[in-house]
Amino acid sequence: MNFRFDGNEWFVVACSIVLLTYVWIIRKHFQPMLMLILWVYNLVFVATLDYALAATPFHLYDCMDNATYEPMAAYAHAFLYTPYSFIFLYYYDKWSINRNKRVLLFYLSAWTCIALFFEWISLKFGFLDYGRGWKMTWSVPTYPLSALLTIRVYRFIKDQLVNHPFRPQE
Amino acid sequence: MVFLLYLLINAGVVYGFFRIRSKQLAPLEILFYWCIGSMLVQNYSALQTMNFKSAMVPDQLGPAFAHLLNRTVLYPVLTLLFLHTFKASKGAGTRLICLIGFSLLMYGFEYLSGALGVFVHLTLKEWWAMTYWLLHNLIMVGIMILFRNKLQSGGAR
Repeated sequence: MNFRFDGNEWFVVACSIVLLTYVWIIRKHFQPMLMLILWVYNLVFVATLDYALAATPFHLYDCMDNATYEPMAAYAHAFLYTPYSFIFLYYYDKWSINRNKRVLLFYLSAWTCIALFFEWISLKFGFLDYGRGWKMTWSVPTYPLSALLTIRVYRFIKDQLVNHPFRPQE
Repeated sequence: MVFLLYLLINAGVVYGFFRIRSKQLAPLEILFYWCIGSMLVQNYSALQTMNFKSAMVPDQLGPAFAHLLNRTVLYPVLTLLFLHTFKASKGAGTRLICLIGFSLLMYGFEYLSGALGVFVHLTLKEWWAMTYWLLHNLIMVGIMILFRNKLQSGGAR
């Protein structure tokens, strides 16, 4: 075992339970197929960034207890980060955020603040360790960019499911 | 130099896949299988390099970025090419040849990356790598069958 189940692991589990409960409540808003594809997309997006930034090629921070790939890091990719995108998209639809650019800008700024606050708590609980050089300010542009990409992928999946129903040519 | 070589290889494979006119895969499938393929390869790579220490990626920019490109583009697109060919193949024999052929091709790319100092095998046995690619492709076929069934039902259940 390359980790101990202590404070930072409990932090991840507790946060994920809260977020997954929230997603369970709002799940009816999303088509199951859309949820599946978006979940996998988010998981891979976060895992790719995490692997590139924390391990090769950048080696800028550690996730959890040490520099190895811990099971709890994989758990966090699947059940901690991904629920955020569903909550983000739920209110994006509910409040019709795409009606003008100013509202979108405000919404992205608000989510960037929430994400930075969560990142700060994660540092306090030892879920993330920036001892190898990553600065929290570097995270600021990554959140709105990731959010815009998530909206783009969400629209693509919705469009493909609604306007181009899949009919395989067997 | 090694990064430029892999940039060309990656671009070639992407071009090769996207210029196929009558693709067997729908756009949603391409997105989904690309993600799953990338996830499997990244987990394989992370476990080998960070946990088991059975392979290593040299701490130099060229090989490290080439490996990043390979795990996010090359292997997932090879997976898409495999699934396209597998779907286009008729008969169990042809499909078996397709499965073994692509598993060997993907292992060949891993062997090449080892020889070029991108993903170097330390204690990782060659037959483990071959088995991994065979399992990877089998899993992808299973996922494709399940995903298509789900899509055919309209994705509502």
